Parts: sequence; C-alpha cells; structure tokens
Amino acid sequence: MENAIEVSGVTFAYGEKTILDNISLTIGQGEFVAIIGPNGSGKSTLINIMVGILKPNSGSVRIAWNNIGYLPQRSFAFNQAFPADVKEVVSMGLYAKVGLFRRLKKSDWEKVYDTLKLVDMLDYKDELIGHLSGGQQQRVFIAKALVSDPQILFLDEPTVGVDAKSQQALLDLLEKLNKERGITVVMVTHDVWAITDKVSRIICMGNGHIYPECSLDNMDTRMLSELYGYPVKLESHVHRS
Amino acid sequence: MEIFTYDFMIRAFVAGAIISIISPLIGNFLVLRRLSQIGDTLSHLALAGVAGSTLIGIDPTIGTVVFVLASSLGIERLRRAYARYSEISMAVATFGGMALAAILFSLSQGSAINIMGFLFGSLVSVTLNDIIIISALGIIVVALIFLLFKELLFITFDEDAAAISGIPINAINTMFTAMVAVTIALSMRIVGALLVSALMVIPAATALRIAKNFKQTVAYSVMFSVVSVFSGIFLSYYLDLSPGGTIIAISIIIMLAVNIIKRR
Ligand SMILES: Nc1ncnc2c1ncn2[C@@H]1O[C@H](COP(=O)(O)OP(=O)(O)OP(=O)(O)O)[C@@H](O)[C@H]1O
Ligand SMILES: [Mg+2]
Repeated sequence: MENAIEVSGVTFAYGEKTILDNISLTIGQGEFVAIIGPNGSGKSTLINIMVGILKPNSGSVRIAWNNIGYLPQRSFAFNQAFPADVKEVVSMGLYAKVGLFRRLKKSDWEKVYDTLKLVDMLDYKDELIGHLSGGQQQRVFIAKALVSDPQILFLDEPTVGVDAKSQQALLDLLEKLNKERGITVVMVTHDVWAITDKVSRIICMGNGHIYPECSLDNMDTRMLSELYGYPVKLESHVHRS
Repeated sequence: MEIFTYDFMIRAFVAGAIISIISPLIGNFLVLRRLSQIGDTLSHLALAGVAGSTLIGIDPTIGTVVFVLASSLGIERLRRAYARYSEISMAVATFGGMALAAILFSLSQGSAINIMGFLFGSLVSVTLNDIIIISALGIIVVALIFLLFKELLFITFDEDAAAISGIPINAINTMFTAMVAVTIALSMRIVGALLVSALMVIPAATALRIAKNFKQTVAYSVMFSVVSVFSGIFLSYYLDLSPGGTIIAISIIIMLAVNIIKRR
C-alpha cells in the first residue's frame, strides 16, 4: 500500500521555541489515525504543517493527493456576524474543485444538501451561520470539510462543543467514511476513550516528540499518565459504546 | 423633464449608474474583511492623483486611476509587511496622500482647478471622455466580481481555509486591491474624494442588517446604493446641493430607516 502521508524529519520553531523536533511518521492509505497529547504539545502545529498552512524549518511532508478536507481547531472562531447561510458555507468546500470563473451547478448544490443531511443539518440550510449554536456550527464545518469528497480528512478536535449524541454520530460517520470509501482520516482529539475502538492507530505527542511506545495495545493508565504528566484514571467511560 | 435636456445631467446619470453599482459591490467585501479603511486611504491618494495630473497636464481621470492603482499595490505590500497592524500602513498612506495632494495643489495654484468638486463631487465636470473611461473600467470591475464571486466570498469568509483548498489567494487579493483602486478613482468624479468610501461602506452596512444570506447582502447593497445615487443626483440638481453630500446623506437616512424598521 502506498502511503497517504509521509512526514520526514520535520522541525518547526516559533522564534527560539522549538515546537516540533525532528518528527517523522507515515500514515498509510485508508488508515484512521488519532493524534493525542496534552495542550501545547504541537498537535495542531503538526496538522497545520501537514496541510501546508505552516512551512517546516527543515524536513518535508509528502501527501499522496491534493484533494484534502481540513477542519481547523476552533473553526467557529470566525466573524459571527458574517452574512452567509449554512448552504453557502458548505458550498465553499466545493469552490476549488469547481474551478475559477465557474459557477456551481445543480449537481453541486445537491452534493451540498446530501452532505448537510449526512451531518444531520439539512433543516438549517437557509439559516445564517452565526445564528446556530457552537456545536451546530461545528457540524456545518465538518460538512464543509467533507463536501468535496476528500481522500484525506484532517480534523482538529472535531467533537469539541458537540453534544454526546452528535459526537457519537460523528465518530460513526467518520468510521463509515473510512471503512466504506477508504478515506484516510487524521484526527486530533482529547477524548481518548471515545475513539479507541474506532481508530486503527494512535499517535501520542508530547514535548515536540512522538512517543514511540504509545500504541492502541498498551494504552493504559501508566502510559497516559506519563504522556499527560499527571495520573490519568482509566475508569468511567472505558468500553462505553 | 427639464433635467434630461442637459447633456451634462445625462452624463452625470450614466456615470452615477455605473458608480452606484460598482461601489457597493466592492464595498461588501471591504466591510466584511474589516478593510473599509483602505477606501479612505485610497481616496486621499486619489486626491493627490488629481492634483498631480492637473499639474503635469494629463487627463485627471486616467491620471488618478493610474496613480491610485500604483499606490494600492504599494499599500498591499506594506500591509503584508505589517500583517497584524495593517492600520499602521493605512494611516501612513492616508497622511502621505493628503500631504502630497496639499503640496501638488499649492504647486498648481493659478490653474483653474475645482478643488471643491474633487473633494465633494460635481455634476457638471463629467466629460464625455470620463464617461467612456468610467463605462469601460466599470464593466471590467463588474465582470471580474461576477467571475471571481465565489472565490472572493471564500477569501472574505476565511482566508486561510481558502488558501488550503487551493484558491490562488495572492493573485485574487492583488486583483481585488486593483479593483478597489479603480472604483475609487472612478467614483470620485460624482461623489467626491472625501465621500467615495462612504458609498462603499454605508449601503453594504445597511444590507447586512436585513440580508438572510450573502447573495441577498450583495443585492440589497446595490439596491440601496442605486436609490441613493439617483435620488441624490436629482435632489442636488434641483436644490443646488453638493451631489456627494446629498447622495451620502440619503444613504444614511436609508440606513437609519432600515435600522428603525428592523428593531420593531
Ligand atoms: N502563533 C504562535 N506563536 C508562538 N507560539 C505559538 C503560536 N502558536 C502556537 N504556539 C505554541 O506552539 C505550541 C504548540 O501549539 P499547538 O497549537 O500545536 O498545540 P496543541 O497540541 O494543538 O494544543 P491544544 O491541545 O491546546 O490544541 C504551544 O506551546 C504554543 O504556545
Ligand atoms: Mg490544538
């Protein structure tokens, strides 16, 4: 299998402060990968380098396709008074695919509505984006990331602000897209226990490094406590489902 | 009607029609990107363009378009250098434009140049030559906005996301800045340098209050602007008022009316 993403020897610093220190990793086509780690460990920075918003100081990133979907962290931190409705926002995900100087066709709008249905937001298609709740907005932005049928999906904390039921629905949807359409999914999350039965691999970040010994098989209290730097308890929502 | 028997009034209406469409089209994107200040900056530079053209004896409309276009691209570079403090580069350019205009006007003292007309707009000064330039460039601006509409919307909504998705944002931003410059240089003839950016900002701001999506915002802003410009030209002719002042006063009255109706 060819790799979907190859990160080799990536180093990134803000001024003197090294955020990523010589990071290498490969993600295969069709993998469903979760990136976990404490606040400030460089997860978003790594994603931003993978999608090309940030350029590494050294090292390189290779991505097998150029049709990627990306949901940034705090994607709802936009101008809440912006006069666009839900269908317009989702349609933006198609613009690059439709191409310069062209207008959206009927089939494009059908695609927009299908995707809104997928995230259960079709009823809100004519609402102003700023009139939705934070969690509803998040679902709209997920639809925007999905609408162009990307081969790779990057999601930075997609479930933040989304209620428990919708959170489960979203994870089920991602699992389905991954299994049925073979979409490669890379997701940053703090909700470790919700994803262990969905993902194929887990990447743990801390201090600008990837912890090589961290894997789905040995995701236990000791491992996580070491990663997060405080005693993480395993109880509560293990094996919910 | 008597008003239509004068050639200069017909010219004023033709120029007004084009200006009343392009100004809010551009203005919507400026307001939503929080860049309305750039309109003010460029209009001060436009004044320097007029003064300079008169001094060296070239057509003021063409001279102003060229000068504002050149300085707008300079400002765009300054703005990138001071990305987080774009208001600094804007302020410097505004003052620079004013200073230059003052110097050039004082140098060209004696030549019969109608400073008031350039500051607050004028109906009588629109020449046939102006009409040709305003029509040609106005049509180009409308066509470009139409062709780049979805890209401009995406960049306005979220520049980073637009860039990642593969939209050539630098090229489009540069083109947009050029369109702003052209629109200001053209609108100045009727509305006046001090009020051009008002015609960009006020109809857009009024539309924001009632629109239910982006397409409506654009449609309403153009509607409010067309109404303001046409009734403004009429009133200023019959009451002998400054056209720019009358047009902007009407657009503000519309804005207040919309806000009052909306509140109930
Ligand atoms: N623009 C910036 N300038 C300087 N330092 C920054 C900037 N953005 C992030 N950092 C620093 O980079 C480090 C990594 O940030 P990053 O956003 O990648 O963390 P994260 O793992 O995504 O955290 P979180 O879980 O809170 O989202 C942090 O220590 C942060 O302080
Ligand atoms: Mg983050």
